[in-house]
Amino acid sequence: MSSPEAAGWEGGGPVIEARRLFKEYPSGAGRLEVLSGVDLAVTGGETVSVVGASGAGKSTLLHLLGGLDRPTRGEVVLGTWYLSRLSDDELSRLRSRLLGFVFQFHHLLLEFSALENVMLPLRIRGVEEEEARARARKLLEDVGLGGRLDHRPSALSGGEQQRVAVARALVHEPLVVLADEPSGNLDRANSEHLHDIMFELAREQNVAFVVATHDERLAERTDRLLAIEDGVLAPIQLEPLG
Amino acid sequence: MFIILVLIVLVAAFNIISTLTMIVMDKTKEIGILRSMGMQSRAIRRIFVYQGALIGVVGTGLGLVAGLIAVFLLARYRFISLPGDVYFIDKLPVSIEPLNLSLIVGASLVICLIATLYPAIQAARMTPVDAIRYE
Repeated sequence: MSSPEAAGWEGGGPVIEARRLFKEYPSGAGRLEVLSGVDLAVTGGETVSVVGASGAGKSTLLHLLGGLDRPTRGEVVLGTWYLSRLSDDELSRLRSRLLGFVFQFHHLLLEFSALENVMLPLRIRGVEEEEARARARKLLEDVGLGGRLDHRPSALSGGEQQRVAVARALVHEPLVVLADEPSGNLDRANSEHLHDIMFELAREQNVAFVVATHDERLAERTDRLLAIEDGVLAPIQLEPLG
Repeated sequence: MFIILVLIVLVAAFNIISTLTMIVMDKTKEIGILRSMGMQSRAIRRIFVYQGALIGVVGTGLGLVAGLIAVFLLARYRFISLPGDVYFIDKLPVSIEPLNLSLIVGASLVICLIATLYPAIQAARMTPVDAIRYE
């Protein structure tokens, strides 16, 4: 599994698919059903946003799509891989090659510099240090942080931290990036800047983005907009922003 | 003497267990981040075993050096007095036995290594989603 092709995906068709996805959590004596048969198919390079109220299941859906959690029923297909049939180690290998994550609160490793944080996915995948350093540096320059390579996250602003997180999610050229409220913690100017970078890199790398967000400005820029309500996904249209 | 020293090392080992358990709790989110990037659970386990082993090796080394310095000083200056009418000698004698030294160093390293296993296994067992959600 050294490349998307080797991982079983040869282009064409959805890069990631959710098929009748159910997720329940124990709740007191009963069970709380968060997802009730979610269907979703995202093609290569497509950007999709998922909106919904807090607790509607947006993050749960992203976790299931990313193989970080397992559904109660249903299937996630990444490339040609059926995630329910994979062991934890196989899921880890697939994540290291085909998936990138951006979280709301950057989730950078505080002891590492920006450059080292972006190198991490490549190093985990087994890429040589020099090559990883060169690729990470290039991507950090692309997101406008070429002058902040050796800065630790604590020395960066919120917007810069999220740009490092986006670079980290894209450095290993994944098939899909799953972004959970990527600009939920930023002001409007920083959010717009982050969205510009995300969409530009998505286009350049032809990587699919699934974004869970409350931010209508982000949602309206994606190719497709879906709302999650009562545990199911449905396409919606936003009112034009004033 | 060997048993007493092993007991002392055992107490130290519980300190390693509690310290590493605290570190694992403190690093839960980072464990989740690394797992989300595809790091395998055995690699997570290895990180904490290395950290525990490092604590064990540094601690044993420092203890060995401090102990040897104390023994040499005691042999030279004989500053611990004993009541001669009870023990037939009036100063505490010291002797360095290479076999005892090796056994103590070996036992402390093995106990430290065993002490790292529980917290390291706990760290590796965390599911990625629980680790990421941990606050």
